[in-house]
Amino acid sequence: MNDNTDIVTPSQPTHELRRDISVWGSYMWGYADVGADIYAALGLVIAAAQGAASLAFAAAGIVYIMIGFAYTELASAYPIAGGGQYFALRGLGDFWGFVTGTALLLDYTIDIALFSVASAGYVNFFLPYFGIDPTHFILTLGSLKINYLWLTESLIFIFFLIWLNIIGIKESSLFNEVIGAFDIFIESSVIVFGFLFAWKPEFLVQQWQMSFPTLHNFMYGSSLGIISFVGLESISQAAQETKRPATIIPRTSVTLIFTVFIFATAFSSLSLGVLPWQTFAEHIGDPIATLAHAIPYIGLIAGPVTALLGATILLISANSGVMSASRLTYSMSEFDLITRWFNKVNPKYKTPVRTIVVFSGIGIIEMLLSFMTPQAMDTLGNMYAFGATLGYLIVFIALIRLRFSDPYTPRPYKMPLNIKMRYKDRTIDFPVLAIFGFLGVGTILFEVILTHKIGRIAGPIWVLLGLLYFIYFRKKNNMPVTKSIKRNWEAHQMDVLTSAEEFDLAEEYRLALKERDEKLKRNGQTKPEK
Amino acid sequence: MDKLSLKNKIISVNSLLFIIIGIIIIIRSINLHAWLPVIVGISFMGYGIYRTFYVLKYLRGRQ
Repeated sequence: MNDNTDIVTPSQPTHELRRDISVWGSYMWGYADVGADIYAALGLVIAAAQGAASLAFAAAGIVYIMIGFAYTELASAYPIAGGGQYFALRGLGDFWGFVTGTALLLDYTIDIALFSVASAGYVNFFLPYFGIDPTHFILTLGSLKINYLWLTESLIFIFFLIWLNIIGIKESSLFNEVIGAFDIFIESSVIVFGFLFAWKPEFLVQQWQMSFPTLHNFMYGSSLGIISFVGLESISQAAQETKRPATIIPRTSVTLIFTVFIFATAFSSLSLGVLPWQTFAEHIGDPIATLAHAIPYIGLIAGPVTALLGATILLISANSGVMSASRLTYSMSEFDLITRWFNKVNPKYKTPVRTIVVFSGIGIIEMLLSFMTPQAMDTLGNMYAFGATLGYLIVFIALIRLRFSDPYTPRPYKMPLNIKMRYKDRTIDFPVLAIFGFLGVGTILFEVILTHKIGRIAGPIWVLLGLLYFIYFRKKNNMPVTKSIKRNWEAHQMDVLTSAEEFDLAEEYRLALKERDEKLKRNGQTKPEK
Repeated sequence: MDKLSLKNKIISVNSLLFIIIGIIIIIRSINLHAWLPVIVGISFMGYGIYRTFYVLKYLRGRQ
């Protein structure tokens, strides 16, 4: 359908994703991921970074704030499903768009697996109340010991989420909003009661001095800390379904950035001021419940409540994974990075049913494989960190590149700290903070490769397999592999802004392009090829 | 001034709570030279103040 010389206007699909996510819904999509991540990451990070866990979270958190600002700028300027993959595609071309998409797809499919398993683990907390001992349901196959009850529960959860997402975004958004609000209330209560009645700063200082980790352990801990911060990607994924995205996304994202940073640093500081780090190392599976249990007044009921909280919020996060994976593949197929078979939207439900089923299926396979390793959660967490850091690294490069290659697209929000400079007779805001963000994420990716035994092997293999598919797919369809398909991005951007009902921005964009064309005409030049 | 909606009342109480807890964390940590918790306390206060201004801005917008 395409050859190397045709300029293609990326089409608007026949059945578009419906725009019905509000401010609260957009915020909850992000919080659903982030809120759950701290439940899984807190124990892992404290076990690795020991007395300096707060510093590890703060270090990862500062990098995350910069990632958050970058995503806020890009998602409000390009409000279309795809997130980091779309930004890389616009800024760096098809090849890097695909690499970013593959890295983030790894994260989303693992998100489905990891959080469904973790959610089922919290459900198991209640089984002894009904006289059922979950440890009795062990299937031994040679040296493998598989808890088939836990496995079955996780599978049921994933199938439930597949069904929910097939029905439509409105229903699953409502699901997120209701349970997410409950979870924020409970998490805030643990923090408030904890700091008021159980927190001993002198104990925190003692652990800092007596149990400071080795450099290797600290690097492992801070690189795991980044897995707490994948929420904003979900907001970008939901951008195409958000009402007035250029207005809503900056408000949602900035609020979420603060919430995430505060929760992460607060939970780690509170934990080490209440209990010794060794206690959390022994309770990697339920660190928040362990913490809550040690708080006076609420400690007695803390077990069941935090277990319920853990189960629900982890299920929300798994739901975000299903949603985001399907939207990402929808976007990739729309831009001919993967087969267009995926971009068919179901006429009845108006949701991308095929992508939901296929990539949730991959999540199921990853879950089954992880159950065959000694520590399933650790295996999945390793790969989660690799995918996230690789994707974010490329997004920072794309952001810097887009400031130069596409200065005409209105940016309702810009990353702070810009320096004005001249580039091709035009004033450009050079994003200094993006350079710091790039260096920060690059450092964390380096830590991941250095310290994560499974992530540094399985992660690159995933990307490599993806690239093999990419080469096969593009060659089969007579499309360039290393070069990009020429697209009319200007017409596409105008379509996106118009369909998002951002008419002011569309007009601003049109005027900027008109001004550029007139200037080129005066200078006797032709329009630059995009 | 327009009346606060239930959602904004919750945000206001929440903001005040964050400011108070931030102050408590700072006071208890600063004598021990525990600078990380001090930063956490400042973050709490900053978040509370940010949310307060958010509600005020919202109300001003509705007047």
